[in-house]
Amino acid sequence: MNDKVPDKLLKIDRSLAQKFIKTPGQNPYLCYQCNKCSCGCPAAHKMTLLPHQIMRAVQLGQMEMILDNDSIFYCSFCHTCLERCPQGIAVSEIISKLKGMVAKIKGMPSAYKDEFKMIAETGRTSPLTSAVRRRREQLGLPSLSETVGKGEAKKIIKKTEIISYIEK
Amino acid sequence: MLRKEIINKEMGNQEITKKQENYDYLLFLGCLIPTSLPYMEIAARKSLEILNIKLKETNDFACCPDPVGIKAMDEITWLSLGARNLCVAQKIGLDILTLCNGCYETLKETSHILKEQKETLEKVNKILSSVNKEYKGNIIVKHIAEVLYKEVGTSKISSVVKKPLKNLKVSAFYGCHVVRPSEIMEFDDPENPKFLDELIEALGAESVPRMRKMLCCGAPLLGVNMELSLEMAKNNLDYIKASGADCIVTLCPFCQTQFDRNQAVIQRKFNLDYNLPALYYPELLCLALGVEPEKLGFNLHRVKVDPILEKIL
Ligand code: SF4
Ligand code: SF4
Repeated sequence: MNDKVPDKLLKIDRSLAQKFIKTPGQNPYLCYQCNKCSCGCPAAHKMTLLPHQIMRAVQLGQMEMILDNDSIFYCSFCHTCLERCPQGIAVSEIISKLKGMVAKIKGMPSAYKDEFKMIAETGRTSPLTSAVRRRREQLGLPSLSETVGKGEAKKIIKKTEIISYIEK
Repeated sequence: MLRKEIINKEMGNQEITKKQENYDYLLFLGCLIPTSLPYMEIAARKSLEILNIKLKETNDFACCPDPVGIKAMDEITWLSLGARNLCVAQKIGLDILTLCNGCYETLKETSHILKEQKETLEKVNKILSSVNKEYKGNIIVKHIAEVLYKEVGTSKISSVVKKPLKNLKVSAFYGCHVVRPSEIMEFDDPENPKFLDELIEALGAESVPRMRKMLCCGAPLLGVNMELSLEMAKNNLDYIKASGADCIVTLCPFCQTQFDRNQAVIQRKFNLDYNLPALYYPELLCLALGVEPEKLGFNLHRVKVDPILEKIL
């Protein structure tokens, strides 16, 4: 048993898994590759890196594999994988965090940028048009104010580090 | 220790619902319902009024925010925006009633995380200090269906039904986030929930079973992956059609958007014909409670509801 371990295997990077390990239910090392998460995933047929493979990539610290394709952005966050994992791993939550990490490297999807901008501007994510006002009036619903939340959402967003990625 | 065990251990303390003398809950409208789907709002308001659940309102709430996109992009921003809403309820002194699965998940999970993780609460409160707020970690968040099922109850609902919805076959569409993640939502089984089926049957209608009851509607992907989003909605429509249901009943404006507004898009794209009206549960409830359909804004539905109204009235 004096075979040398090939160099490539030595490049396991534990720092990626460490980003999750402290949150209850997000220890990537508990994954034993049973594939159950991928079997129940409604988006798996579109992914080139399936949920269980994403878990392996996290264990090995292969952020590049995750950055290389857009599989994580096919996840609809339905939590089926979280409910079914026999090891109690919140796969969906790990994928969600990965989306944030990737967005900070490759840029935020424009739909999410728009969401942040609308919340900052009006407090809401959907516009209050004159047609909306008219419809509400016809139904006898109370009128809505132009903005909600006293502009505080904007102050909060400006306080967190995400602001620099929204403006990019 | 597995996550379930850890969380179960932490859930030990009993919660007491806050009530002000004249109100039961603080209404959280969210974004999508009041602007795009006001017919959902009117039905929720009317049914709760009839059932004597008193709501207080405020202009101080902002977007919940979105548990999919905003949370993924930055969890601490998501938690802080959610906690700001919880602070509004804390100041008024009432627990929150939501009309949407998304608002429900965000606010309930935020309240859960901030109660369990002291370090995170400190971080969030530091951010909230910029708007002179501090969350103390004691607001309870409920979904309208939870209040109807657990507080009013199906037997009370049956007893006040004026127009039993006989002969109506309904497909119950729960949506993911009303029950998942189950150890936080703690509402019903995450794979085979029953409460909506029971709420439908309490009105005299039949809740028909179908394949893959808990398959995601696909709405969270609308902005980032339209194609897959519509495909997921289509798969659901296929199962619903095959079940022989006359209509779909939803609990969430995102599912409602997929099945009502986007049904025509899906029909064109896949060259199919479903003609399945989608109703928000409180709309069905209002009909059974005898509210006149003219007052409910059914004309705002994209898929015509008339065949359903003819069948039950
Ligand atoms: S279900 Fe859990 S243990 Fe199985 S492959 Fe997925 S993450 Fe790993
Ligand atoms: S949460 Fe995402 S990865 Fe998990 S089953 Fe749903 S779509 Fe698939």
